[in-house]
Amino acid sequence: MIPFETLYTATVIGAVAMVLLLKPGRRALRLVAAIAGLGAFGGILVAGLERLAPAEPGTVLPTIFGAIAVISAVRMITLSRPVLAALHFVLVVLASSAMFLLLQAEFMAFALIIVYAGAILITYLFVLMLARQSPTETAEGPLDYDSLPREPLAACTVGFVMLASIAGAIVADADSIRETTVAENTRLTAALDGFEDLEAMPRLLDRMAGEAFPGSTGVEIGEDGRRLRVRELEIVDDETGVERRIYADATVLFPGGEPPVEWTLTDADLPGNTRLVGMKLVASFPISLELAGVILLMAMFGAVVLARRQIELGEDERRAAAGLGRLSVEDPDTNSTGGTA
Amino acid sequence: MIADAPIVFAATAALPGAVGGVLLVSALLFAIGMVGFLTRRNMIIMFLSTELMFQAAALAFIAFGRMHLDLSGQVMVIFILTIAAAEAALALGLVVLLYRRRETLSAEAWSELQE
Repeated sequence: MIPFETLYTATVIGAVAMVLLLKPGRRALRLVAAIAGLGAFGGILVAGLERLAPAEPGTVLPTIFGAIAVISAVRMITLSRPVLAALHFVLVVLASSAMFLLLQAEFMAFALIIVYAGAILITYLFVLMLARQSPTETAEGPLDYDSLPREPLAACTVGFVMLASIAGAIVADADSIRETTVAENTRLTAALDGFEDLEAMPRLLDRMAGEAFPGSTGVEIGEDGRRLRVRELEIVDDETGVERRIYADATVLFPGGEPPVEWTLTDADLPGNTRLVGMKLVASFPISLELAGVILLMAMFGAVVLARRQIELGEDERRAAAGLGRLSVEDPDTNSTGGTA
Repeated sequence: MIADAPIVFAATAALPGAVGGVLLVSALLFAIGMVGFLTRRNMIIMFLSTELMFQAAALAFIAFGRMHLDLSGQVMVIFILTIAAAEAALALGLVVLLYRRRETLSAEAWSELQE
């Protein structure tokens, strides 16, 4: 029960600190609020991790990157200058991509940096620069609507009640999260899954065989229709006891009358994260992939239609665009500039 | 050929802590993004806060995907990126349109929609 009390106390302190940080005030008060907020962040993490990972190392790096992400996010919504807010969001993106790397999602980590920090944030900065030529902007300080928050107390109540319930759910399920994570992540499961994935990529397998045995024509398809024969090996280790490892055997064929060669694959030969994500994307979610393309196309059309300048055409211009003759019988010169209203 | 590797991934000993820590951070980021969306009055910062909430969802997807050793979580993040990009394009187009009408980025300039 103690983790929940710590968790909820830390959440309340965090909410109070957030309200103080949102309101423009004295420096000392904001400093105290920032320190209280940091303490609240630490309290939430300690309360959560006490149940999730008791007495385990390795929570240091997620805590550091999480602290960077959370501090940048708080500064993003409390700083009054919009450009600084956008730059702090870049920091959030970089810290989250570091957390992606810790969770072995290498492809998504770098895709996140390229797409978010590289493309989306630059678009935001473009629009910010475009809108900064406002005549009401003064040199000495930010605008009113940038420095004064809207209903900070109500917003923080809503946000932090939600945070308390989400974090409470995570802590309440801490045991099952820990057990699932450990059970699903043994080397055996990973290797079995990896060989299954490699089996689904026959051309990659043939190419790997060609690199390992130059001149070979590929991997033989077995009697059961599979190319790899997965086998389990038990190694007796003096220190840790019996260790089980997974290997896969394949028969590599050669042209002409040369005899085939047996080829043993270890888990070092398994495909990497990028290949696996690509395979999963195309094999399991093909319709979603097509729909994502349609959404992007429609968003492009929508942005073009929204942002273009509206030009009202007169009756004559419309008829001219439709390939019809002019309606008016007057001199064409007097009418050709019409319709700019 | 047979390397002396342990039965689990090297990082697995630390993994429950990493998954749990990232899940908590994602909850925090989502709450902060929501507070930002509700309190800020600059339309661009409001949309930036929604991007923060997308980011938190992506972190949770990656953490749960790692927890179940399933790549669907990472594939889902690709779709989150797609939606975020589409949303950014549309939202910024809308902001540019609204800015041209009222010459201000304040959302309160639009509190009474009359046109």
